[in-house]
Amino acid sequence: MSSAYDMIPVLSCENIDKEYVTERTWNGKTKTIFKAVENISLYINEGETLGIVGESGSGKSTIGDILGNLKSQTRGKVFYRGQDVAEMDEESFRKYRKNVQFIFQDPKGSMNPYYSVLEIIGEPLKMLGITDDEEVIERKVLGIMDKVGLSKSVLNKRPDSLSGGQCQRVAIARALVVRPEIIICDEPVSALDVSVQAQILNLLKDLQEEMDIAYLFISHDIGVVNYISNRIVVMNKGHIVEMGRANVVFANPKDEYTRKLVECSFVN
Amino acid sequence: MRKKLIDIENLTIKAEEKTLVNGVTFHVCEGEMLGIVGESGSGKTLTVKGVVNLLPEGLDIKADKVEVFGKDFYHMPYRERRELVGRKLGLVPQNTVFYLHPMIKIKNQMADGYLHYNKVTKEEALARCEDIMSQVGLRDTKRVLNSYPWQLSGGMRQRVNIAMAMLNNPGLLIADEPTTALDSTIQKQVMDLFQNINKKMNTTMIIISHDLGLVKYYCDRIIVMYAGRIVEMGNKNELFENPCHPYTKALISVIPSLNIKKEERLSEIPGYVPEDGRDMEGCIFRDRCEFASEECQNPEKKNFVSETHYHTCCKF
Repeated sequence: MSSAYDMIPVLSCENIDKEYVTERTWNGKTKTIFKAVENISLYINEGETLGIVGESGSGKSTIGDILGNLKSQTRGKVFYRGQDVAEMDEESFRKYRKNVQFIFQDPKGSMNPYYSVLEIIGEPLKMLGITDDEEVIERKVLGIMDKVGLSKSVLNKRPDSLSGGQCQRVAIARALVVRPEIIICDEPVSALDVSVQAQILNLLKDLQEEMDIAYLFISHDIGVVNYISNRIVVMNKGHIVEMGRANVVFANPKDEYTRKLVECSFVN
Repeated sequence: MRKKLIDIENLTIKAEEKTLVNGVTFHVCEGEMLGIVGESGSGKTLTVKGVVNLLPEGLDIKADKVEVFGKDFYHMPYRERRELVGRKLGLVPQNTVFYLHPMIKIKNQMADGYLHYNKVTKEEALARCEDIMSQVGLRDTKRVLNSYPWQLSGGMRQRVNIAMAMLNNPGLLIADEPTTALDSTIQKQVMDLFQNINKKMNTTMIIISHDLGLVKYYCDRIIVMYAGRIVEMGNKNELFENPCHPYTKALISVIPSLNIKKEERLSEIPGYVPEDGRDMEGCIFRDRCEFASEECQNPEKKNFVSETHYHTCCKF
């Protein structure tokens, strides 16, 4: 394995700012702006998990969205394997799109209710132009469903007849089916019950070992983030207040806010 | 023994043929903080709503005994029951967004309950509101009263709800997942507030939560519910130091703690909470239980570990 210094991170960003216009004057000029995140730089290496913790409104989801190109940043740059995403040609942008996948908090909300599980999981294959052959798609979908622990019987079901845990498994399968290098998990377990939460966390860990995927794991739950992450970023009001190895950050918090967060979280 | 404020025996709630809550028996003593934990769909909210007469329509409720403040709840005159619920019971709902009317200012909806049960003018009621609001830690009460709910933050809305529930000085306050929608720092503030109310005014509390860590920290006595049944009940220390039912054990071990080893897998409970067949004989947890065997099909019985601590597992 190469040392950390000559490794190019899968995904990184430099000095990201994101501003929203919250009020305009009568003729459409900007009156007040709201800074969602300010001056954020971070990186995620191959096969590692970077956890982002913070309270609601701290900008953690914004970072995930910007890194996955769901939102555009006001200033700053996002790099995929050292390449600026904004200046990519179509070919490499497609590659970036394929390799950076998402899992969202509300699994049902991120699925088309009229699609069957087969269509949901198979859609990225079509959209990213990997294959159009229905047979190949079904084979791939079944293979990935087996990996995430979904039985074949749900293949033709629609999201509303699945339980929360099953839905989140479908979402994970949809992200995995194109073999991405990194998955951005935005609060993937906070809508689930604790017993199902443990199942999903174990699954994510197993998949990481097996397929060498990197995760950007966004959550407000310190216990969960601490368990799954190698490195942790603590955010408050749009700023990074602390960053470091997981076991160090929470065991020995340097920042006042991190300490408060650990104190308030009833995990012990 | 302290006075029992709520005494329920064998409460069963059915939606047509489907059993939602099955044979729940518990009591709440005066001045205590009772925690009810369970996953979603375990019937913890329904149980409590059955007590405060807020069940959705179309549900059948049956019980051997439902006594609230020493009176038979389902056989008292309607008027009296309403008065009891309005005056002596306070409910803090989970969803602070839907509970307050978005188009009406706080001052015009907050005092309704107080005005209804007390012969006071609106000015007096508002003064009472301000008093209570400052007690629950809201500064700037004038501004809050003149705001619409959507102008307030989540923590403030929750405090307004708590204040509303406290207006009539209820003897019993029921908080249904009071902090689920809140951030962890605000969660601590709100829970500390509950603890204060409990200690200072001797208000009895029922805290419904899915967060075992939170309940462990604040409650004196804990009920663990699973699929509409109580699987274990005991004082805080008894329950956490000596969890007896496999479900309680699993529930404690699935929460990732801060000193967990990274290589260690989280222990998981396979499967899902059953939706149907909750009225079946025997242990309802047996399909997901690693210790399950033939004898688990026998009817459950209460096994008392101590006077206050029991569980319903057939094997242990």
